[in-house]
Amino acid sequence: MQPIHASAEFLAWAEQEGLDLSMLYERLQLTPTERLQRHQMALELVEALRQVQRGRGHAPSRVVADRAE
Amino acid sequence: MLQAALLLTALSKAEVAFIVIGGMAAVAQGATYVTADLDLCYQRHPQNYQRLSHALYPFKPRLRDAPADLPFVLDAATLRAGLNFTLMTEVGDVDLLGEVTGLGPYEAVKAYAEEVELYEHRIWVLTLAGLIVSKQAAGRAKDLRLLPELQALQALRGAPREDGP
Repeated sequence: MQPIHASAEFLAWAEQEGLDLSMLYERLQLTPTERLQRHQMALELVEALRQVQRGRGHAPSRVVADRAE
Repeated sequence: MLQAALLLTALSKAEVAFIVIGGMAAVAQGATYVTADLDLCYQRHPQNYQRLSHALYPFKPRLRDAPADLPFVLDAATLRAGLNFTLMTEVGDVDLLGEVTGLGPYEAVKAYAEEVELYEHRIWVLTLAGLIVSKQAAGRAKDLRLLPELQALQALRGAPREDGP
């Protein structure tokens, strides 16, 4: 189990480690459906990039983009 | 490519007892993660096997990472005989789990889930607390990578962490 951090301390640490808190804030303003719709757009972008990569003769890779946005 | 809206709508209309877990649950809870599959925990009950198999039938489910000529029919008998299924469909990859690592079967997972509105349907989705417990229990690198973001979301919401339901 991870240690339980005080929220403010944890957020400061997370931001220092490179987590984009503004993006998370923005996501939390959306409804769950809007979040999934954003995800769908990101997934379509990843798929389009894969198609371009294939066209250039690169080996296709499985769609995995932990931070594609 | 995954069409989560189509799958979730079909399952909800068919009154399947399921909970969205994994990456898509994280997305619904606010994560910026991008996932190419839909992970679902389903209730192991004869009526639910029927509903689940009928709801997925139009999308032509078949086993993922299995030889194309391997005979497979996703029906109530198949669901009853197995537990976890990694499927590919015409609208994307779907993982059906009878049990979730760190949480247990559907009934236990539901204690860590909340009903949210998705595409005009009330759908059960794993909470941030449930996601954190399950990701920690799974312990794979790809699960652990998501933890800081889930914990940050929980902190931003001001919710308690890792306390369970």
